[in-house]
Amino acid sequence: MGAREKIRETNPAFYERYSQLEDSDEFWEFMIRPLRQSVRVNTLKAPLERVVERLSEEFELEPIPWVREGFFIDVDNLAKVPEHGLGLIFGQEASSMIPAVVLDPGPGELVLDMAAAPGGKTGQMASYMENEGCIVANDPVVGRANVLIANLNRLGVLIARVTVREGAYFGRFENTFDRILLDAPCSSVGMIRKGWRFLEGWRLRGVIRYMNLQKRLIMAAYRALKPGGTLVYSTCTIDPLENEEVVDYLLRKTDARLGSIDLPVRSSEPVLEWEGREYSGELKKALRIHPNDNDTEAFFVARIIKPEGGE
Amino acid sequence: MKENPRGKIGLESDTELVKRLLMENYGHAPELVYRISGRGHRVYAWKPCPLEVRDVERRGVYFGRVESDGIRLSIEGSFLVGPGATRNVVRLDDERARRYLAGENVEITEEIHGWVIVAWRDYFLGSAKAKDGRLMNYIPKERRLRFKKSLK
Repeated sequence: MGAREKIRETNPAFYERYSQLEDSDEFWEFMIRPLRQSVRVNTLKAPLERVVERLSEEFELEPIPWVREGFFIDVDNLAKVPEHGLGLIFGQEASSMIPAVVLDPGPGELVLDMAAAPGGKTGQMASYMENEGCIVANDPVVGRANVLIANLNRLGVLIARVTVREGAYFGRFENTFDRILLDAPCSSVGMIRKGWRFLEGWRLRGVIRYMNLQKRLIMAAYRALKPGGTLVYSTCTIDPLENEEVVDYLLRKTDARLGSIDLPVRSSEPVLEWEGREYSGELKKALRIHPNDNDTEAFFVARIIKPEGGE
Repeated sequence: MKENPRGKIGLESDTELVKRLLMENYGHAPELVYRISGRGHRVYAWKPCPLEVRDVERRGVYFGRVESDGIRLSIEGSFLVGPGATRNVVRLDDERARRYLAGENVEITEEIHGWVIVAWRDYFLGSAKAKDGRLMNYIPKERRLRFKKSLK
């Protein structure tokens, strides 16, 4: 049975909805193909070149084109890699390294990571900040926050404050943060390559529930952003209601603008019309990644700018 | 006999006490905020943040523990102190590093006693207790190497 048939049989509503988005055999095959193991080198603990040199003695590394510290690695279990236990590398999916690259935080800045668990992106941002400045790393679920704490510890992050709040709470910090990452909770279509349960459990009503939450979160994030600051909105899903619809909502309600994203990554055309709704042409600047574009998880990334003298 | 540093907890600021113990034991103390917490005398370290956020669950990293005879560093603590340490650092070759990372005690030739930083190539493997020509292993179980393949 081909991938298309397996998906159609497992969740017909899923197949019907996303065949309207893309319907190539390749798209369906990559949707369920197991992910390649990838890692990010944690430059907070040792220089990139030295870690790569040591790892290369024992493992095959293939650079990930869009992030300097990212590599695909030929190992089935990271517990076999000394650098993993020591916190010198972190298992992180290749496309999930994109949001922090796009956000591009620097040393000394004040950053909010609104939905931070499990912490790979927070650690990546701390690396770019060279452990100087401050990151408020939030997750509303205690169990997930504990995983976040453990991972930030292992990565040697000295500048994080971990909070357990509803993300919308941060709306009260008006015009405060230099940069904000909102890697929003979503229906996780991109995660099907990690777990079949994401396909089995997918429902349209879940997508709509997430969309409403995402709209609340993006408005709070934008409020908390300093004028002149950057907000990156990302999800690991392909549904236009959770991606283009949410960013379009922000563009319509505020003075937000989108910035272009210039990375060596293949992508699919952003959706400008869906179910009778038309979205702003600004969304052409967003990055929509389908699993077959780069053999990764699906992802959506938008770089949002708050104008100087803005809200 | 050296005095028990745990007896000093609460008598001077945590940061001052930890930095003094680090200087005594390893000859280097990073400029961080330190806090000693709980009956385990666990040490946490972080950098200041300009924004006051209430109800913070955790800041910084688990840095180590104040022991009755010195200060033991976690893996993270050793990566912070190790690059500047001027004494009590024991370097392992690849074969002993592999065994140490897998959770074994390993033999050393240095005549050294007490808490030391364990180093391997450019990395630091936390603190171990040097005693009778051996390093007693303190790698946490969940962080041990689970594959017995020799490192080149």
